[in-house]
Amino acid sequence: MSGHAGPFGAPRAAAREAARRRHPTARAWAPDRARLLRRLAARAEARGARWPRVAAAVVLLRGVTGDDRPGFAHRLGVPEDVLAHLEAGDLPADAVPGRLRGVPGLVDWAWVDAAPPPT
Amino acid sequence: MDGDDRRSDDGDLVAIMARLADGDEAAVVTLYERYGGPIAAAVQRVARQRRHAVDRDDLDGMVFEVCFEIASVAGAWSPDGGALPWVWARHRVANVVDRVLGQWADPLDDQQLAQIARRDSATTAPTSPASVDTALGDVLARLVPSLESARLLAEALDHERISGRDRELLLEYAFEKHSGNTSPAATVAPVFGMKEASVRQAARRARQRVLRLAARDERFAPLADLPLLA
Repeated sequence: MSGHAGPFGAPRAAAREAARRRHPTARAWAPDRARLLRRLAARAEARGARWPRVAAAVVLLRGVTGDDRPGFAHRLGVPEDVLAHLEAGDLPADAVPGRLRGVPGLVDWAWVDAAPPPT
Repeated sequence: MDGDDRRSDDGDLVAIMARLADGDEAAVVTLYERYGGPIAAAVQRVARQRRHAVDRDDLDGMVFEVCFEIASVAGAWSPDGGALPWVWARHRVANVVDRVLGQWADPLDDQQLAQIARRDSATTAPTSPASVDTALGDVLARLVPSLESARLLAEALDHERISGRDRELLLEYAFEKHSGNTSPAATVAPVFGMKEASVRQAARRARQRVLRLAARDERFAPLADLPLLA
């Protein structure tokens, strides 16, 4: 049956998918990543991280992919220990690999870069 | 997340829980991203029990806190138990909600207090009211020694090999239904990450298995009259 046109010309499968998206259960939840980023940064800061915003950004991006640390390091093309230091907040924002900064829409890098220097 | 029914033995969830148990903070983000929906539903359910509306801001914060709470006990969770982590850790969910909303209580009513005092003095039987946020499976287990029907029901659920998830689901569904909720499936479905129709079906199947056992085995016959299975 898939491929049959719906009332507005869309295939039925697409129409069903659109209907699912309109259903209240589909609208019920969407992650608030900006808030999550700040929460992770606060946790990193409480742990004593020197660059907590960097730690938060890298942890968030790895979390979104669902990768473990070796897999993510491989994906980025960086040594695993460098990734570990980034996640621990031991490294500044300019140490973040370009491939991470290039991920669109997930992290407000301006906020990460605007962090006050560690004391 | 799509609308597919979730199970505790979902490989993705099991992998995330294993990473949480290893202390991987990024797995908290993964849990939040992929299972935030059912966790939010669990949070909202507790808030409703506290008769408290939760705005989007509070809900987001609580979902994230619940993810960290689940992370802190992830090592003790097992998919073999049959319960999803946020159902299994429902006390933790309730604690997060209470921390954000404040401790919840009905306002004291002097007349009601006097009635309770009179009732207590008139009977020597111990009372053990179950907190609304107590796991229903735990409540059933606690009632077993003292309440024959609860013991029998627990035995019947074991006898029929009703899974841990379906057992919780049946009890949650019955709890909502007998609390006057006119759409119990709508309330229970998001907690278990299931569709409403699947909840109704799973609850009905579990109930029917117990009732069939009651019909064919005289020992379990009293269960046929149990309001919970009506």
